[in-house]
Amino acid sequence: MAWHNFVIVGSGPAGVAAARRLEGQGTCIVDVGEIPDRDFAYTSLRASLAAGDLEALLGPRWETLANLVTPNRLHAKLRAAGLRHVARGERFHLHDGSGDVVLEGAGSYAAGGMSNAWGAQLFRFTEADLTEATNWPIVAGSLREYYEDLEAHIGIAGELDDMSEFLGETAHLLPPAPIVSAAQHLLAHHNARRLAKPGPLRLGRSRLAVLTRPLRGYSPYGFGETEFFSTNHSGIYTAKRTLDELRRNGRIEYCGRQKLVAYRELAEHVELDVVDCDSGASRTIRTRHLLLGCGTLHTTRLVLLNKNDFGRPLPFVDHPPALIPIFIPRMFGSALPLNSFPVQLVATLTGVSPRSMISFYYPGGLLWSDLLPDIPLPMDASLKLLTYLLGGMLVAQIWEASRPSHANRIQLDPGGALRLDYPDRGCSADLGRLLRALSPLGAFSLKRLATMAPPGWGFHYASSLPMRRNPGLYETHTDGRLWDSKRIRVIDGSVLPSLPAKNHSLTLMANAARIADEARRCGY
Amino acid sequence: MESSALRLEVEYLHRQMFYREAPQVLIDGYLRAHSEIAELHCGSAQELRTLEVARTNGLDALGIEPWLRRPNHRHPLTIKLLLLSYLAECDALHPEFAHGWPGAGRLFIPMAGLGIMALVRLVHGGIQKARYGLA
Repeated sequence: MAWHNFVIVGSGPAGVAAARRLEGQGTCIVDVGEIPDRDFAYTSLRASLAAGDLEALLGPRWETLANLVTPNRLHAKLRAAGLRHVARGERFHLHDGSGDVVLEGAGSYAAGGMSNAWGAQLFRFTEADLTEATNWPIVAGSLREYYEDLEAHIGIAGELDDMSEFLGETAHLLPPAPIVSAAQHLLAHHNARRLAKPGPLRLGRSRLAVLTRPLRGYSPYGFGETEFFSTNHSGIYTAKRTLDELRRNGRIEYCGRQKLVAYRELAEHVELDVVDCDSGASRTIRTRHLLLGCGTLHTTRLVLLNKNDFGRPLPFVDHPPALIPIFIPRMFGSALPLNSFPVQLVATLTGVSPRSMISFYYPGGLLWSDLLPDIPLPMDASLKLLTYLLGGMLVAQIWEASRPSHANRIQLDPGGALRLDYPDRGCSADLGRLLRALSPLGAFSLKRLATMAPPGWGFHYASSLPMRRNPGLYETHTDGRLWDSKRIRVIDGSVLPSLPAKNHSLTLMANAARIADEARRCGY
Repeated sequence: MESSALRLEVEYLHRQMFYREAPQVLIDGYLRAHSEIAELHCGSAQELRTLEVARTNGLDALGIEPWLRRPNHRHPLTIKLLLLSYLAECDALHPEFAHGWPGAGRLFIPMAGLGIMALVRLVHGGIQKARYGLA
């Protein structure tokens, strides 16, 4: 029977962050490890369009057309053939207040987990963030050394600017990623105005896990606008990069194509029942410490299944954003960039609590056909209009702090499938204030153009097994241990008690690394 | 739906959207998509009749289509025009989708012209929709 000091389940951001702290110490990663079915052979979207490569763009089985008949069936980041492997995990249904299914999705079994489809914005949480989000039993300062270590490992592009106070301190920033003309215009006007006539808007560069210069042998990103077609970008960090490094160095054992189906905690060890995904053969592994890092959905399912607890609702938190196009008329008709990255700028509004975070995106990496149904004109006119508008258009995504509510729940149905209910969602109260703050900068929109992403669409899942100082049933200790456990810890988003407006990816990595250190130092 | 009918359909929709004959590669893609995506054949009897009436009478499909949009349901005409659009965008034979723009200088006149043309087409489509009882 195989024996390891530490077994980490899952190779997403949490799993690899923990594995880095435990490498060379008898550590094994158990992981289904799905990889892309096919590569996207082009380094830029423009090159693939010029080649007329229908199969590369639309997929051998028309994967990119997943939303053609039913809008919003699949998130744009998960549609293409080269990205379909990312969400092939356990299926779930998410219901809104009326009980209707608003999202049919699946967790991730991919090597690198959901980071394969992330927007690459990595932020530290500050003490103010945790206070606003409420109920965090740890202070942001306890994550500081882990933030610093991860930032040096990953390479974060950004700038110390008007957003520094909101985004928090950071070390070793790489030069910021290039931004499109519309974003340059917005930023320049904001910077010129904020000294003379400061308003409630804070605006600046985002912090991106994107290499803008070589780092640790990795090349800078080419900004080829292929993020919606492929996950294989050497210049964009995903957890798979760390996984590959750990495997190359031979400092961990990697059990790929293996799925944890059950576990039993005994006095001296934990026994894991693991199934080979290809052969179906099962085997047992023993470990001194089990670290569950397979994502909020899978970890919650595993814990509930292990307790045979069907129908028990647990808290569930997501970050469903509001989206609104922002028009900058002075930039209409300007040349479209040859290269760009989706995330352009970030902003927040002062004078309110909790603060929201606004990310400005450039939609150049999408196919233009994706945008046509949203323009209320004949499609030929919409197409011509896009050539004028795109140079002066950004899309703002507004993220709000998200706290557990009694109504938003995750549970196992009697068949063992995941059911999520999310009737209680934010209403994007800052939308009007944002539009008023943008208009002096020459950027405009109408509230009626805003759309609310359905719950579950944010993919920032958390809070099902929240950390507490004195955990109750289905809660975790601050060192990650399940409420009733000595050797089983949860290291992923499940343990985050609530979410500030900022993206939680870097924090869940830092927290996983912190918990891994707790496991290493625990003395048993 | 037979491939000969689909061929007539794509030729009609392409003329409506791009004012020229469809290239063979696009026709082939359109036919292949219909043979591999079962949902492309779905729609109520009324919706499918709209498609048929529009094609056989050479109606202004692009002017009619915006009137058929609903928040959570895509009309087959919208779906077929979108499919055509995706295929055209990816075949490198439609410069309308060139992902680049040389800079247009003063934009008021072309954008105003575009707006007027779109409005005329919308009104024209609305009249045809009502006249032929399309839904």
